[in-house]
Amino acid sequence: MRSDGRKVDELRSPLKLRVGVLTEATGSAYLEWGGNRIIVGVFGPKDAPPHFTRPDKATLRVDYKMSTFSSKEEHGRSAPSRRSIEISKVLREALSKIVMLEKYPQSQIDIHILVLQAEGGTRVASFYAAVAALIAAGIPMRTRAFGISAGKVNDEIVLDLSKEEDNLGQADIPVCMDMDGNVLLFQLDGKVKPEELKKAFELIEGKKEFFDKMLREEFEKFYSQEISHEFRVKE
Amino acid sequence: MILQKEEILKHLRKEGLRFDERAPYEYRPIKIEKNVIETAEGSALASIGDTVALAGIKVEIGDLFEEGKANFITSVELSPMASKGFEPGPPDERSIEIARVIDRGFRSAEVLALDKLAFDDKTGYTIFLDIYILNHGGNMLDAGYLAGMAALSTLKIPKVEDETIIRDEFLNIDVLQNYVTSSTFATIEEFHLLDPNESEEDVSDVMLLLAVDDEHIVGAQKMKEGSYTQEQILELVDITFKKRKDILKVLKGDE
Repeated sequence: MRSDGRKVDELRSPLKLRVGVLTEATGSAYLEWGGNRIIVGVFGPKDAPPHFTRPDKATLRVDYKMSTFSSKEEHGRSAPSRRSIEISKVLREALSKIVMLEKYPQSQIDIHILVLQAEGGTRVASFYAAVAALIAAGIPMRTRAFGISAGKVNDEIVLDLSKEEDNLGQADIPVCMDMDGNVLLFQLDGKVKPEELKKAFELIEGKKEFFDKMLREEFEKFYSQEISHEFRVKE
Repeated sequence: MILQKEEILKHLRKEGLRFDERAPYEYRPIKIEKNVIETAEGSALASIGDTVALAGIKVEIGDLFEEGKANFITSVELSPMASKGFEPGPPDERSIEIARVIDRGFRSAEVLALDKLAFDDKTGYTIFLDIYILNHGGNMLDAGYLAGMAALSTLKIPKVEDETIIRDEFLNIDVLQNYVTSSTFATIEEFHLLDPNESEEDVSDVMLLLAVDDEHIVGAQKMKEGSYTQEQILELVDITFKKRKDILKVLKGDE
């Protein structure tokens, strides 16, 4: 049993996705996941400036940012930190694999991610929200995808660490996967044994249908235009 | 949809109405949602039509810039997801102007009792009010003012013990002492349009922001290259005071 009573593979709630929340972006999504609140806007494909142009495919740009008030602790800096620069890079690399960039040579697609409120696991939550925003933008994708952070707490592998678990945790393993279980993003901080990593991958892949279903259900509403495009932080 | 000046003027002259069927001195729908960010010491989401602003406040402690008065710092970020025209990066002149105009209004109106938030002459609280424009459909200034004012109305001051902030214990003091409301106008030839959308802003000759409290003008900014007559400005001041009642109702909600 975990400190907040969840089962080892139980995700934090709320876990709610909304697409089409912004009017100026080509596609957008808003995700509430535990204490995380993340908004993503996608622009493009549009002509790339000459120094970005690639003859064979589109250039993908990802900009991940935390709001200055996203943490319970001190006021954050507004300039990009080393952490957010690294997260932008690994997210860009993960998304590049599944976005059909070859459909848009000499173009550019921009993904802007803003973490309004953070409570651990923001990079994998941002990844999932970005996938939703890309689909909402009508950009062709090879597959749908999702992400979860696994962790090791009290020598046990669990999914989706709470803040309290993260503080006591022995390892943090953010992973993003496509629907075939291919690993698109993988980082590890801490110490785990090989069999524990295997267990983490299994638990994460076990959630793929759940995340796929959430995407499909939200897009059914989106395409049937049952949702208003008004943005609200609390649903 | 970006409209041309001629189309906008033709519609105004023929119908007396704007392209979205508003009267010249009519706001788009205004909505406010307070206390939306749990990690902040105050927060609010405000929208005027399609324009969305999110304001959050963080409270810190430190040395004071002005003797016996808490520091109050306003910043505005034009998030690149808000418009095709916004780029990631350090603040540009537009976001700096908006932040400074909003800051001056709140300061002039003494919205917060900053003297109550000083520990002594040299040290005290620092209040960071940060406003993110998340969607830009015109009139970011009024949306920013609304979000900022609504967030300030929810501000809670955390306790301090041994020069450390205790983030989940709050002081029982009332530091909110005034409400600022603002009105922005875009002027296209003889027409003054309150709460301009993006097209109206783009084709306007000159723009004016006015911020007021119950009795005083507490902030003003003329923008773009055109000019106003003195009479025109005084007329728009009058409109701004008249609109204040409606905005206050939304700001104060069911208080």
